[in-house]
Amino acid sequence: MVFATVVVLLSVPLFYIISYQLYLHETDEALKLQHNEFQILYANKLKKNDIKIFNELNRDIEIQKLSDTNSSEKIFTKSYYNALEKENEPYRFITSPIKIDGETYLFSSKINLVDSIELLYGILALFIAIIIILVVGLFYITKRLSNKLWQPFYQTVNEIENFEIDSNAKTSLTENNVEEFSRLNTALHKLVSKNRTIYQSQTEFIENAAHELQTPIAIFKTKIDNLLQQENNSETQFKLLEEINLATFKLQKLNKNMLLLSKIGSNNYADHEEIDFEKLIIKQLPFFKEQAKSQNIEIVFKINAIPKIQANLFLTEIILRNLLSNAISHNKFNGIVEIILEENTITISNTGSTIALQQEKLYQRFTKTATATNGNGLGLAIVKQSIENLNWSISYYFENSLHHFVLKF
Amino acid sequence: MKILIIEDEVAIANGIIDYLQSNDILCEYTSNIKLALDKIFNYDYDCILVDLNLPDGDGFTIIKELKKLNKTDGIIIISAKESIDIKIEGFQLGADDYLTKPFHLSELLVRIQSLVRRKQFNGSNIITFNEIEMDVLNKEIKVKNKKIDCTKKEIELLLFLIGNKNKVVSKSNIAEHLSGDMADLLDNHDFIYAHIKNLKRKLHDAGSSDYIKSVYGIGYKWESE
Repeated sequence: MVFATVVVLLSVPLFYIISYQLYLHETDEALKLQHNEFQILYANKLKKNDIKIFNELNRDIEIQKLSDTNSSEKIFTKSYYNALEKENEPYRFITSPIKIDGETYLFSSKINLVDSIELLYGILALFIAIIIILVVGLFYITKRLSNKLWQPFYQTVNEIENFEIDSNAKTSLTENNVEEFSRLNTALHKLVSKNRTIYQSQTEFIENAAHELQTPIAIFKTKIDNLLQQENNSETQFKLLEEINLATFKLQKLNKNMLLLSKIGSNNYADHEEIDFEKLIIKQLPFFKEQAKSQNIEIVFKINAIPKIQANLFLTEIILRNLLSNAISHNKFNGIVEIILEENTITISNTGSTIALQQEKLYQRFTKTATATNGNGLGLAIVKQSIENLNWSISYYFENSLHHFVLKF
Repeated sequence: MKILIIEDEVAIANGIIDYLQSNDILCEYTSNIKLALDKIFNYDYDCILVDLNLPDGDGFTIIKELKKLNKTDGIIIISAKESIDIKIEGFQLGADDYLTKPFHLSELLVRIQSLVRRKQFNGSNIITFNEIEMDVLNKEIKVKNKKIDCTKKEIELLLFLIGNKNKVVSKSNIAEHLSGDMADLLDNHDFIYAHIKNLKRKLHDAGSSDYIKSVYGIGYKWESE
């Protein structure tokens, strides 16, 4: 585009020069023709006395007495005052000696040349008009063309941007007329399907593994219960059994959480209903208050506004339960847990360790902090997964020696 | 009381039989649908425990067959499947209870007792143990015909302990039972000490004997003698 403009602009003086030369050349031809015509048609007929009348009748041709017999034919440009236009205008002159009645006269003829400046302006104006038309036209044409041409590409980019490995939405990476895009789409489609398959089989593997583990855990639990009933259990045996019992409980919990995590990841939990947060939290409170009692932790529930949110009840419950459970288990003796309900947020704050938690590791699976005694490191991963499923967001900050988790709908 | 256990995992079935038999419950056991249907056609049971994953098909088949025969046997599904949809399907087919594996045998026992009580006494749901009388439906405890004030948790605890009489239940078992579906979130099991202590005191104040025996400080046993 810029190139075209430069070329067109550079061609302006060139065009001017060429066209001016051509124009001069044509004028000269015309003058010569006139001169020849005169010689053939009038030179023989014209008498000496008629010259004066001839000169008066012809505005552009003049015959003058010539003293210098040696002068030759000359063509030149000269400015001349035009009485009609009332300005100096360039004229092209031809002067040539001719013979009338045996005497030598000077024949001179003139043709009004177009003012060169005006000519230049004219050409310039014309060219600018052409440039504008060209630029605007080109702009629109290339834009439309590239839009049309890149349309499939943008579509592909869009698809990739919206691609989520754990969603089941089909990507529409379809065949295309343009070979390159077609290849790109086919390659991407392969990549996407392969990744999905791997992800799927991995999720399935976790789910199956967790599921298969349930039977041995069930046997474990049953047999421990049977063993507890033995008449002759000593105290040592009994304590050992209870330790195994607790470990089995942890194993069961871990297994359940793994199952839950992969279920939330693969299922969409799409059925939404209006959530009564106040009721939901109050329903959970007795359990958590009981859990908090042994550490003498106080739970405060403040309602500043009541959110009106459509969400999946199961996931909402899971999020709240896990956050509350964390707030208690990562707390300290005589600590507090604060639940604040706002129109668009729920903030769960708790006392605990005196330093902020590491943000980047917070929601990773199996990350444990020193204060967590019984956690399996899956709680926040489950929260995160559920939140992603509901399109909510969660943030963490540490302020006034309180750990705050803000849930935003 | 006679129950039928339909469960393909022999180790679990034996564990259940072992635990329940000493509570005067007669247990019969089959490991597949075909044998289970044979038994169902020929006998009546107070309660049938059905596993869903059986070698020759789906445990739901048995429930459907029971309903077709207009049998009133109580049905408890015992399954590792935890999905809400499957639970709902089970209840819609006519199951009375759903217990997710793994479970404690003490939990299973009180579920069976509760189900059988509901079936047999049609509404009046009263348990008596010597001088103690419990109205399960109205959540009331009477000792020597005198009502005593108890919390919901204490009533549940008493029901659990009496249900598992002469059995040792560890504090973690009790904690899981009292927490219901929140049990997964249990961080410590210490809170039950307070409940045990309060219940013991209330029963004692009302003039009841002390049936709750501590077993090495980690478990409890309701002793009937």
